Amino acid sequence: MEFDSINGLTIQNLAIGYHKGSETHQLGGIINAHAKPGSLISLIGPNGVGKSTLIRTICQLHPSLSGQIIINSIDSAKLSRLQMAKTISLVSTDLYRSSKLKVADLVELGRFPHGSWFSGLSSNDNNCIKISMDQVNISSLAQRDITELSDGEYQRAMIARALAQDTPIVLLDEPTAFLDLANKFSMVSLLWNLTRNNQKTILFSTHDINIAMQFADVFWVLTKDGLKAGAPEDLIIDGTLEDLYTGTSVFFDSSTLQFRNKKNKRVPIQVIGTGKVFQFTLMALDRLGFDTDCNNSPALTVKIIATKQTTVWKFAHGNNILEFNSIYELQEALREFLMYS
Amino acid sequence: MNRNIYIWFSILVVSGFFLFMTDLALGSVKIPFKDFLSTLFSGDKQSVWFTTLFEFRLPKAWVAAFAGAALSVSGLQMQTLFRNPLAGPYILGISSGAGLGVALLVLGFPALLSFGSHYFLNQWALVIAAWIGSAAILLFIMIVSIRVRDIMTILIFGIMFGSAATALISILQYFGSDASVKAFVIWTMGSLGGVTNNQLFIFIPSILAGLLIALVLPKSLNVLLLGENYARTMGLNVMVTRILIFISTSMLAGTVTAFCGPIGFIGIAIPHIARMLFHTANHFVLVPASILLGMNTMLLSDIISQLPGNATILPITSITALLGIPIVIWIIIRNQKLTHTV
Repeated sequence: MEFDSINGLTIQNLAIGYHKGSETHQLGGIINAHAKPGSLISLIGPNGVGKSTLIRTICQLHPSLSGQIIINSIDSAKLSRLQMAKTISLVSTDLYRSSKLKVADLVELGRFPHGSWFSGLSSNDNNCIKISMDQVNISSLAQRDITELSDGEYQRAMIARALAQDTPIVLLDEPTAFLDLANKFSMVSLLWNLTRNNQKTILFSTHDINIAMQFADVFWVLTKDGLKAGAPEDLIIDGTLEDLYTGTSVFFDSSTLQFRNKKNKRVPIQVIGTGKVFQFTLMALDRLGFDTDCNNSPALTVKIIATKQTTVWKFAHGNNILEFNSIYELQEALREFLMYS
Repeated sequence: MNRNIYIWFSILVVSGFFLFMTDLALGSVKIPFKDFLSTLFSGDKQSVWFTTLFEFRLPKAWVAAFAGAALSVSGLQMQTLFRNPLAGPYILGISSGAGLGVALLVLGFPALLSFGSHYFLNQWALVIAAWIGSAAILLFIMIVSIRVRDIMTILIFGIMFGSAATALISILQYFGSDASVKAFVIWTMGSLGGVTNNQLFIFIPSILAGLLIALVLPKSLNVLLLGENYARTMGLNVMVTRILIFISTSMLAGTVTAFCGPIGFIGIAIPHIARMLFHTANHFVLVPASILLGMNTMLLSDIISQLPGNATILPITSITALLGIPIVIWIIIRNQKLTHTV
């Protein structure tokens, strides 16, 4: 059987969950979705809705309650263990690392389903291992012990192992967790490149929606009612993403195109100024709990006077006018003001 | 494999040979060196040293070498399977099971042993009791293993079965007579010298069978380094591998415990030394390395145990513990990350 990635991954009437004694606990609703070959799909949803369970169910680590997972028009339940291993690879959140295991040896493990039961590596294997390490930029670390790697490097090594497994579909469970901001971006950008250069179908779960939005072709939004798929922007327009956070303080700020935290804004303030400094001043005041959106001339104003050399913030409160030379000075004065007013 | 690996393998083979010969040459009776060599290589049955060498020392040296290999390899398999650096051959309760078997015999039916003059009973009763005990524990583990997916749950079951066996042993000891309690305590101290030439024909093939299974498993063990879930997604038949490892471990550790008593620390320490020495986690290297290192260490322990001279032989479990503990501590200090990893 050949697995050219022609038709991709289809999930049909899938119910996920687990059995506890004689009871069955179904997580969420019935799931239907389709992943086109070569697309980067981001699996989004609140904690506990079953993202990890869905990923584990797709790669058969967890039994489904009902429904089918169809890969290139073949029901995956009919695939043998080795055929599955040649079709889907997984990068999980497991952070456990064996010592004395070198990066190159770790990547080599990905060749397991391709070799015979007790054979060494073919030149094709070695080639594949080398290319996989190059693609995630860890070739220079090949002889390092994996316990010496940073979390980001280890995550890359695990992805190289999945690439060496040479599967058309790669699943990743929260690959951006535990990483710093720059590494989060480079991780998702790496996944994006793999879908473009290698025609991989990649599904990754994440909580970093702002980052995912900049790369993913499709969002799979998993909620208690089931799965909704679409381009990230479509899901913002129709309110699906915002609905995820109903009842919380998170909202989608259409001016910055980002999810942000709602504050109980009590004190209205007017800001006068232009340019970047104006935007940043708004940001700072927003953070401090002021309402900068008001139109009905409030009692407080901040005026920004910028010359070529200096910027001065003038805070007017009734007849009192105070001058500041940085946002920090303004902020500390305003904090005091809020405390005593 | 790089050149260093071959150099270390060569060193271990040579040192193993010398330790084996030293173990034969030393003992409670002093054999002149010339006579030792001539008797050993001629196999001259007329020699006054023949019985000492061929009936006592040679079987004991073989037992030491094979017991060392067996315990080290089963310890390695358990550490990889449970991803735990403190796992060893007895983690699943095999030694407790064997102990319960022996305790039931020695303490529960002391009358049986008073038929001690009976040749068969004398030679085989303890061995068979220990074997049945460890096999019973392993059978429980296998049944749990087929139903339970999570390997850590199986580990807990193993520890619980072992503790239950130990509890039963305590009850038997409480009610046992002084003489039979002493007999049992002596069994727990372990002995390499109790295996006769006759028993060697069961001992060595059983261990060879266990080693053979271990020698075909390296590729599976390598994949298990990432845990059973990853191993499953890479196409490993985890259930079959688990059962093969359990069978191999019971053949290895079960046999050693049955014939020599519960010999500790070799199984925990040797795999770590192998990893340190060969700088690898690859089981194609670690399995043979553990075999050779285990043989060397056990022969060395046996040599040390008879150093006091005369007829005094120190309990082998004390020697392996006193030898193993500093090594484990040294490894932990040199490699502090060990607490998080295998």
